[in-house]
Amino acid sequence: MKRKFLVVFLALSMLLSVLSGCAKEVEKPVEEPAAPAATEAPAVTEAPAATEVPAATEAPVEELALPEIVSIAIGADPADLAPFVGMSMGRIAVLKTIYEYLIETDSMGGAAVPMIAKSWEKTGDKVYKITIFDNVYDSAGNHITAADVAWSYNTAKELGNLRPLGDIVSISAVDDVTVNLEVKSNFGPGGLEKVLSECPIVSQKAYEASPDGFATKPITSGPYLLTEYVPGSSLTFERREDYWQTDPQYRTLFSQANVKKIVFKVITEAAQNAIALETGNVDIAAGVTQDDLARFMNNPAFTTFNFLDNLTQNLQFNGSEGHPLTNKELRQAIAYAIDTSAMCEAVAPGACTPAHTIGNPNFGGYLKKWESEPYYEYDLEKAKELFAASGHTPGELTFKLLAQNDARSGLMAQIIQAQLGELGIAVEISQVESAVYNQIQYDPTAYDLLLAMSAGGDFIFSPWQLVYDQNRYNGTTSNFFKDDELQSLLATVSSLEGFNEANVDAFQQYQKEQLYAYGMLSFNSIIVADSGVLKVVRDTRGQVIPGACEYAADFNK
Amino acid sequence: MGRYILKRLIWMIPVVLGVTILVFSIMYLIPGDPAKMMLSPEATPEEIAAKREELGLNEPYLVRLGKFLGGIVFRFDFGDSWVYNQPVTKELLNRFPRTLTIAVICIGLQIIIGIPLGIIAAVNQNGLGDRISMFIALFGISLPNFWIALMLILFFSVKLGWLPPFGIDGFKYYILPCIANAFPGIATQARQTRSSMLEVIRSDYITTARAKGMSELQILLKHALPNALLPVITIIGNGMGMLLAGTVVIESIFSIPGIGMYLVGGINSRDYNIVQSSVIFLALAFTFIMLLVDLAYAFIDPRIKAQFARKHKRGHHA
Repeated sequence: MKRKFLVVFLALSMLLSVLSGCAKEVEKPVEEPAAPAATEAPAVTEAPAATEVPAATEAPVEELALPEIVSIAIGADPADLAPFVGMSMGRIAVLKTIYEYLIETDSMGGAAVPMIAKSWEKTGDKVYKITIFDNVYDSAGNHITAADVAWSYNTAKELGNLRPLGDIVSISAVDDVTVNLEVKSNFGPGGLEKVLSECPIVSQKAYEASPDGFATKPITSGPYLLTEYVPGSSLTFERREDYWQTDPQYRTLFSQANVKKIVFKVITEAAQNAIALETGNVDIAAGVTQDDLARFMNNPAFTTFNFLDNLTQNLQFNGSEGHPLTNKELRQAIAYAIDTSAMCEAVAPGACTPAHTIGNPNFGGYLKKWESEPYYEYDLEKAKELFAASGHTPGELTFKLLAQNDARSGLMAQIIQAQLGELGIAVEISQVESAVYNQIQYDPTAYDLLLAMSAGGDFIFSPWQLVYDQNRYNGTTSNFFKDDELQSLLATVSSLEGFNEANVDAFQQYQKEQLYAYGMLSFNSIIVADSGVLKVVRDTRGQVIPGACEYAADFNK
Repeated sequence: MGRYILKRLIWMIPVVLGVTILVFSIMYLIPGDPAKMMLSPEATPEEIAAKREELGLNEPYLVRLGKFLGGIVFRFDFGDSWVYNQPVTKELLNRFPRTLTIAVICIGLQIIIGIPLGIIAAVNQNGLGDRISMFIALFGISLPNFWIALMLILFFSVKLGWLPPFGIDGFKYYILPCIANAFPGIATQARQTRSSMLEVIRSDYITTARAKGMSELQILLKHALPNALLPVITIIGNGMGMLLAGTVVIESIFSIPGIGMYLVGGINSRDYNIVQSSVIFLALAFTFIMLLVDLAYAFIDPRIKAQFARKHKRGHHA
């Protein structure tokens, strides 16, 4: 009897567990008060001031012509949708669809376009005046004023998760539409834009009323409203009919709403991206693996969009005192021995571009002429000459190459190992996970050669700063070289007055000659989409903005 | 029996405490700075130092361990995730039903398929049934579950379009992950059942039962199977524990946000609270399951039940 009871009890427990686990888990945003109708929102009152940067955009697509739904694959769950917390892979993918910012830049190093800020100007030494639109409303009907802007920035600054906000001394509201911003030092190119485009703007009232600080149910002023968030699985957005910005000239790139419903689907396994596209589970996927790409390249049902990645894969030499790689000829010999074109073909055929500096044409200020100038193109004979000139003999040197433990880095490391073997340099590869890599890459005893990825902000000096700025790394470059001239050239090129073609080129020629780090290649990010997606639009972090993409008239209808 | 359960429950405390201290110490010692991971590569050394201070990473080992243990013991609070800025307890409870669902269905499949396969193999030792059953078992144990998962997706989702390839929108989303995850366990179960059954059906009491004229089916179900089940139950218990902690591959392939995925994400981002809490949570679940297994022993095996009864009587006489 007892046994029967136990069997029945266990069976029921298992059944209940199964049923409870299988129930659809949905967190829906709280009921919100009715938002003001589009017609109620006050009209734009002022003409753009001289300092404004009106965006050249088209009027939003007519409602009737809009596709019903688009689904996009993202590689990770954002987990926390709150506005002022740090970045993660999942958050980066959806933040620009959720929140609005003061401004946006339409491409890396490109023009700043208004979003919530209507205009911005420098009014004094390190002081700026920002004027916002007077008709900004969030989806709950809260009027976003200058006080909300100042509160958003101050809250984010206090939390310390949004790095560029560390440059702010104070920010305060002057009246309903004017904000005064004081910063620590005069900005270089792109510095102000970085600060103005970093902090999501939300209503203080709505944020403080939220039980979890917008972690799962954000209320924002953007053109889309989050209607369903299934943590770890999907996010659904619906186009707002009452979006505050009704003036077509200010419906900038990221304020477009070219589709009625957007669904982000979390796909954590890379191989599943191709399957999700083929089975119609998603319409756009950025994470299709190199092996799967061939299936989509000549398939009329799909379109591939090829974008150059912001990261430059580079080889950094250990410049600590007494290290053999402080010898310039040796560094140059190594660069000549590496065939970056062959490396591209081997690692990512058709999705890779050899570099000509640390950086690529995505960055503002990049000079096209560098591509026709010599940059250590593969030449084994020359490499051997320089190697001999460095005073070393084949078989004498063994270097430890530190790299991250992803597949591409592994392949690149093996190619470098093989090619330096031709020169007579033995290479021991040490691949470690990213957290360990980040920890030990600033330890001069951890490596001789470092396989690194450098990105940075909008302009070409930004990835250079990441490697070479000696103010960041206790008086040396990130790879332990000391060079006052390099630092002086870098300071010049990254200043507002010094950022010009001549100075950019002067820095490039100097770094090329010294070769403390060798820019090898940039990968391309290939986005595969249903053939009904006519144009894929990405933000400066390389994330797809589905509302701004363009769709065929019959897409998903 | 009540005293035994209480004793086992009390024994869970040092086990979980040991796991807590061990996992905390491992996370303390491994390289990787959470502050650096959280901030952008452009962060200055001052900003990294400030973040470390904010996260309490500069405090001594014992202070950090004390705070962590205090939170768990007094408030059942595992702290907040540094990366996601959310309470870890809430997230674990959100995710646990998904992982448990997969584990329970897998165990169910292993019992329903693995045990009959083992019985068929044992009663047909060296015959066709044995060979077929053991071939299936060998097949299941040799193929990695991620490969089976991808093959199932290609066939049932891409080719036939019957089942979704990923997601958690309903029961049908769990079919492929559970089948893929159950395969190796089915094989183990079949082999263990076969081995136990072979041992039992050679026993004297089975010969006696035959001599008394009982049918083979009766002998099998009434005498052989119950006695052969004891080691099988151990395997089921262990398998359940392994499934709870080891579904990460299947969760990753099918994009199922369970505890395994949460744990791996925490390890990659050095989110100590996620890692420590997930491991402790799984340790708790595992020890609880092992307790249930031991109790199941007592119900199934009369010898163990009698042992409890004798101890109880002795206690009363004393």
